[in-house]
Amino acid sequence: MRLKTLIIGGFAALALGGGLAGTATASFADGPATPSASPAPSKSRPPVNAPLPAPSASPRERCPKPRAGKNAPPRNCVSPARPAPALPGHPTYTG
Amino acid sequence: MPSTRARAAVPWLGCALLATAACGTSGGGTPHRAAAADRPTAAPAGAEIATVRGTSVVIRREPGGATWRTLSSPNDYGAPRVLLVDADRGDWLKVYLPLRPNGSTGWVRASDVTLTRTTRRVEIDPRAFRFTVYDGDRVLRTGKVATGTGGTPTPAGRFFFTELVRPADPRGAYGAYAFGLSGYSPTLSSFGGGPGQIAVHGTNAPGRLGSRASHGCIRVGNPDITWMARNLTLGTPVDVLSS
Repeated sequence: MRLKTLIIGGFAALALGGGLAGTATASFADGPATPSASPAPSKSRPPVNAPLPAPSASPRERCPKPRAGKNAPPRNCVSPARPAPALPGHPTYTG
Repeated sequence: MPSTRARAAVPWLGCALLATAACGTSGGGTPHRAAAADRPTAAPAGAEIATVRGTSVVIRREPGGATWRTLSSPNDYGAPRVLLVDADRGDWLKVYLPLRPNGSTGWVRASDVTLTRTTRRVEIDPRAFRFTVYDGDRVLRTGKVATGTGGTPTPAGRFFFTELVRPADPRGAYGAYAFGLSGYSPTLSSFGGGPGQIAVHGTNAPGRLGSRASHGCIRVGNPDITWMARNLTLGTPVDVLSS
């Protein structure tokens, strides 16, 4: 009975999530409702503008494992982006 | 379904299961935010950044279409060519382009680039004269900006960092660092020998932050641009809200 409940609940969750995906993505992307207000401070979060820890020397790769039996197109590995070194130069931006 | 959108849906699944009302939405946002409303890669999972593998990359108007443009790598500043991914269709990626008109997009072969991901993005609010750096939905840093004057406005829209330059004179108008942006001035076709490209950069006039003072660039304080140089990567999304 418990297993059956879990299975039914899982399907319901998938269906509900799929239906909301389009709307939910766009809504979150709009950011907080009040643009100039910062989120409420949280005890577990450092204060805004606090120094961040230095990035680790070797970012952890998060490449999906190839799926056996699937004829999926080859995909690039997606790893965390790293700050780039600054190039010396004479900018010509609009200032 | 593009994979970025599929990943973006995951947190909302839990949201819907727990309590839809509690998770809420922005209610459609305000007109002030409309210019940057469609942001498929700004979800909690982050944005994908494509770095060109070879010495150039072919841009097409549609997947598998004819060559439309070719972009060199490194770019004119000597930085590796990066492009912000807008949509992911497996073998093909729709990318934002550092070309006029602002907001241009095209398609590249996924095999021509390597992909990295960032959960950080920058939002510029010209009305409030403030920038905010987010990591997901968490605010990392915020501070004052100066934007373009009425005659040389800062364009609104989604852009990304194209290069990070350390000016020879850190006490000059560009301050300690300058992050080139993928956008261009809507009124200046050239500036100072360049193509009218806008940037986020430091300043030697911090007293003018909080006002319209630039030719289209976004000026921030030198401590802020130094922080950005240490904590943000090329390709980071930069959303300039409507003024």
